[in-house]
Amino acid sequence: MRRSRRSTRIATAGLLLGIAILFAFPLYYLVVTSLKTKAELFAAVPSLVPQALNLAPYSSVLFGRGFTGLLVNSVIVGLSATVLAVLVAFAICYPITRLPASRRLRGFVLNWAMSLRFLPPIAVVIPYFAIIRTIGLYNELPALILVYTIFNLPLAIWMLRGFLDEIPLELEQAALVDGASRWQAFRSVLLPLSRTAILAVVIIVFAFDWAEFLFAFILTATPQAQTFPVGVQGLVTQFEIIWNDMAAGGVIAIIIPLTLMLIARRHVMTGLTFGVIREK
Amino acid sequence: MRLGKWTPLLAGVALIASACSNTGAPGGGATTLTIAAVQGVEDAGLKALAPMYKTAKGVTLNIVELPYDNLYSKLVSTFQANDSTYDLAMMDDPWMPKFGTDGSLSDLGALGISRDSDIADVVWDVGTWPPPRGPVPPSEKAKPKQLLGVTIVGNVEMFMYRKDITPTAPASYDDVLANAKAQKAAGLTGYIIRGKATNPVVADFLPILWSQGGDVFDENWNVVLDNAASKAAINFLVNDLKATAQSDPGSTDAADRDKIMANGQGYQSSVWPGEINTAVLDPAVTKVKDKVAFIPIPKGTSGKGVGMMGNWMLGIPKASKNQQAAADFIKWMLQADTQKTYAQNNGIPSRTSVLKDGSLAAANPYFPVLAEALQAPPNWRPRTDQWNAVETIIGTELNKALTGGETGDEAATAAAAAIRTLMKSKGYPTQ
Repeated sequence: MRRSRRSTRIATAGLLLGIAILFAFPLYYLVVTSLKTKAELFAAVPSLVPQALNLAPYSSVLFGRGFTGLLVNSVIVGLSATVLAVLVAFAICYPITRLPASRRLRGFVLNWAMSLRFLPPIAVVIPYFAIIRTIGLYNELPALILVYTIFNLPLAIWMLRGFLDEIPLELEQAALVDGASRWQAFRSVLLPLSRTAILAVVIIVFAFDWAEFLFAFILTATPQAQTFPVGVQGLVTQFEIIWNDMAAGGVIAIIIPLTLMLIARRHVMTGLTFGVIREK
Repeated sequence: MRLGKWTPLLAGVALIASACSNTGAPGGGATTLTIAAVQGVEDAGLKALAPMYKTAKGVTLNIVELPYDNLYSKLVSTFQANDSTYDLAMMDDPWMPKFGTDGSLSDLGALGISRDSDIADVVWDVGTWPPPRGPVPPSEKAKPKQLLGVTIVGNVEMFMYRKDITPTAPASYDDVLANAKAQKAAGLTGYIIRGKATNPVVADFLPILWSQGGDVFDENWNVVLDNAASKAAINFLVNDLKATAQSDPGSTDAADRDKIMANGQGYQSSVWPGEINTAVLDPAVTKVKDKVAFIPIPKGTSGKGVGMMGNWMLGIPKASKNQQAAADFIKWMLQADTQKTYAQNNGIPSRTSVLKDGSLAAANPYFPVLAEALQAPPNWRPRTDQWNAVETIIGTELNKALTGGETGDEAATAAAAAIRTLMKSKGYPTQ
């Protein structure tokens, strides 16, 4: 019996190790490729370890190719769209979770949000292009901020709603009984209690904004408004794929969301699982 | 203290405000020209010229680089939206029919650009719409001929082989096959096929097709890809050459071909000028630096060796607000001294005297061959705005045949039938 349990444990550990390698290997290979020279990339048999610590691809991406500007654009668009999405999501979730809204209204709002999320971006990219051109925002950062906000709003609404549902109404009611206004109750009771929720939503929405490519490609024309993913995909040329620069771009692109994820992983996990079991 | 609580919100608002305020174009008028360019070796010379033009004329060149496929779709959407973002656009020559038919580009003749005898006629012809020779799309026959694009990358498909192994150049595709078999037996890849679906395999195949007497269309837009000569050419590629090729020709693109050649594992292949200095002769990666020779496309059963043009041109979008300034840049770029500087900075010129300049030959041993190929002249891809769709059909079927999904004859028949249907639906008198 004990031997059987031990074998199961070893098998489970082996399986988990295999899965971990499966997931980690592409990341490892990305980092290794980013450190290789062009000569190493041309080797007939690719190596798993770079011959030397070659940081030239990072310098090439950030300075030689001028991708620093694209990184700044990505940060501005990502943060702006995230802030907007969270603000609007809060404005929508507050009444449907804290005020006596009808079940029908709640259902309508949540289903509407869900339907937006199911809309494939490719289906709306042409109308969006026409609209953005018409309102004069083509090749401007606000165009991306607007579109990213719209696309990630459903995610923010559903996540926030799950959190807010978990915070007992009685806490705010107690504040109201003590003479606080609804605004004070919101600011002093609900907002502090929602901190984890907001952090989780911000990180996840930001990660989606950060990685978006389709709209960034269609709605921009020059580096003035292009984001980092648009620059990185440009490294596939007709006669040459600049693997090391591309991998360096990939590593740089990963660093920011990965760092945020590591810092706040507990909150993000909570955010992803909140409200999963209980349905009000 | 109270402000501290609002700091995150204020920071967010400030961030959005800063993004919204960042709406002005970088410069304007004739002080900045924005150029949509293809990312890669093709625009290397253009990038090198930018600071020189700023010094010489005080005009900043804002070069926006996009990968090959994305550049085409970006130009199509920009032109259709009549957007003025780009003052100049780099275009592969098969795109000219689309942009010419759509009326997206300005007449360069009206802006003061005229032919120069030091640049091969075909270079001017390829930028002229409707085309001055060959079949003209029915919808374009009544239009006056205008110069819509000027070549800035003289690009003709050539042939490369290992001169250290066989000092005599292959004169014909019979020689190519015989050498390929011998080198395959000796352990090399006898002929490297660039067989990736759509554009790559078609670019590799068309010189073979034309040299072997086949074609895609005849002079009246009838599809002849399934006639005997065309079928023979397809079978030559997917049977004879494939037997001597690398293990996975169906997934090989130019970068893979160059890697095989640069590593000394391949014996011969077709080659674009743009591939030569990035890999095959790049001292940082190549093992065959002085072992490769470049020649025009060998002769086929037609008795001719027919190269294919892939010239990159500069055109001026009609929506550009800096028409004359853009034309002035093109004129400056075509000057002999600029072209020489351009060539010294990895540009591929089209001016004959520059291509034949002895001082450039050491770094660019293929320049004299390119000059010869441009004078030949090479063929251009059929001048129809449907070419992208036609190329996709041929490239898909050829790839299927290369990967064993169908025979060469089946590929020819299927591609010809699909092209006939397409062209008829677009109003061509295709049979």
